[in-house]
Amino acid sequence: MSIAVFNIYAIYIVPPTVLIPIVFALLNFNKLTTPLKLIFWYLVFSGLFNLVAILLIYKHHTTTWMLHVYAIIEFICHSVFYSTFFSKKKWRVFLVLMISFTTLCIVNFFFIQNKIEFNTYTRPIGAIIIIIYSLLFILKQQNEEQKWGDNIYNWVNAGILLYFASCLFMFIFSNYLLASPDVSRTVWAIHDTVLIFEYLLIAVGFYKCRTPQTISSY
Amino acid sequence: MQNTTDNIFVLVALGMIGTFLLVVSFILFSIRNQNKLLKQRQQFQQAQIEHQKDLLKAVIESQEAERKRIGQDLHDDVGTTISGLRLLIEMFKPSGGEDKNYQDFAQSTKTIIDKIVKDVRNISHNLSPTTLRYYGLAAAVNEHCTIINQSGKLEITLNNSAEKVLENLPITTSTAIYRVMEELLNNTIKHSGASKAGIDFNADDKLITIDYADNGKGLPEDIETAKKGMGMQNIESRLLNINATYNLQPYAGKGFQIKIECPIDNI
Repeated sequence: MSIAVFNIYAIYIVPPTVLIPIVFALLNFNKLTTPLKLIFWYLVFSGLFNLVAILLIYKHHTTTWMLHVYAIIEFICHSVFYSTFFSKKKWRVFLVLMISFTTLCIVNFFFIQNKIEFNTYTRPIGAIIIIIYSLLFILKQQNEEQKWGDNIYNWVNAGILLYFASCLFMFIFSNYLLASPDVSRTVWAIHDTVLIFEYLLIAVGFYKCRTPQTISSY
Repeated sequence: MQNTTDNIFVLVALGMIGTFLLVVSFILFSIRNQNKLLKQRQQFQQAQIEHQKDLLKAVIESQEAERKRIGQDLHDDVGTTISGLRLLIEMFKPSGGEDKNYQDFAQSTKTIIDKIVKDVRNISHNLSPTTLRYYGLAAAVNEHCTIINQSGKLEITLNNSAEKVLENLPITTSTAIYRVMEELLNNTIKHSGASKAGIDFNADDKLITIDYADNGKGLPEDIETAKKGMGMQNIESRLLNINATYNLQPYAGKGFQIKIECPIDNI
C-alpha cells in the first residue's frame, strides 16, 4: 500500500468516521441511557485523542506513549459500560479489574516497556478482558425475550467485540510491525477498517435508541 | 531475519482477517439463535394463550348452559307448581262459608305467591334471557334497560346504530356482550351512585363499538386496581372469549367510561 493512499485513508477518512456515532448520539441524546452516554463520551474522547495524535505526528513527535494512557481510559470506559449489565455485587470484580489493570499499565509504562514502544503487554490483556465482558454479555442476552436487533446494546456490543477480537493480533505484534513501516501500513489499514465497522455498529445502537429500552441485571 | 519479519506481517494480517470473519460468523450465529429461540418462545406462549382461551370458552359455555337449565327448571317446574298452588288456594272453599279470617289468609297467601311467581320469573329470565335467544341482543339489552328505568334506580339512554349487525350476531357473542352490559349496569347501580347511564352501539364493516358511560363517581386514578375486581375480571374474560378489546377511561369524579370493540371477522 502506497504511503499517499494510506495517509488519506488513515488520516482523512477513518478518524472522521467517529463523527457518525457521535452525530447519531447527539440527535437522540435525551433518550440515551447511562451506559450509552458513557460510550458517547468515550467516543468523543477517542476522537479528540486521535486528533491530538495526528497533530503530533505532523509535528514529528512520537505518539506511541499516548497509547499507554489511552489503554487505561479505554479499559475503564468499557469496564464501567459492561458493569451496568451485571448486578451490583459483581461491581467489585469490575473495580478490582480496573484498579489492577491501571496499576499494571503504569508499571509497564515506567519500568517495562519504554515510551517509544507500543504497550504490547497491557493492551492485549485489556482487549482479552473486554472480549470476555462482551462474551458474558452475549451469554446474558441469550435469555432476553427480545429480537436481537431490537436491543440497542447488542449492536454496541457487536461493534466492541468485532474490534477487540479482530485487532488482538495487531495489539500483540505492534512492536514487530514497527520494524517495517511499509508493510505494517496494510495491517493498520485492516485495523482502521475494523474500527469503521465498530463505529457503524455503535451508530446503529444510538440510532435505535429512539425506542425505550430496559436493562436487566443479574 | 527479513523473511521472518515478513512472515509475521502476513500472519498478523491473516490472523486479524480470520478473527474478524470468526467474530462476524459468531455474531450472526448468535443473532439467528436468539431470534429462533424468541420465535419458539412466542409460539409456545401463543399456544398457551390459545389453550387458556379454549378453557375459558368451555367454562363460559358450561356456565351459560347451566344457567339456562336452572332458568328453565325454575320457570317450568317451580313457576308452574307455584301457579298450581295459587289455583288450589283459590279453589279451596272452607265449610265455614265466607269466614273473614279465611278471606284475609287467602288474599295474603295469593299476594305472596304472586310475588314468588314474579321473582322466579325474573330470576329465570336473568339466568337465561329468552329475549336474547328469540329476539337478539338489541331487544334483550333494551328490555333490561326498560326494567331498570322502570325501577327508578337509574335512567338509561340506549342508542343503537348497529341494529342489522346486532341481529345477525351468533348467540355466543350476543350472550357475552349481554352479560357484559348486565355487569356494567349492575356496577353502576351498586357502586357508582350514578343517576344516568348511556349505551351506544355502533358498527362498521369490521367492528362493533359499544360506548358505555355513567355520571357516577368513576374509576380511581389507578385503573389497574379497578381491573382486579371480580366484576371487571368477569367482563374481561367474557370479552377475551369473543376476541373483543376494551378501554377504560380514567375519569375520576366525572363518571365511568368504557369503550368495547368487538371484531366482526372473528364472530
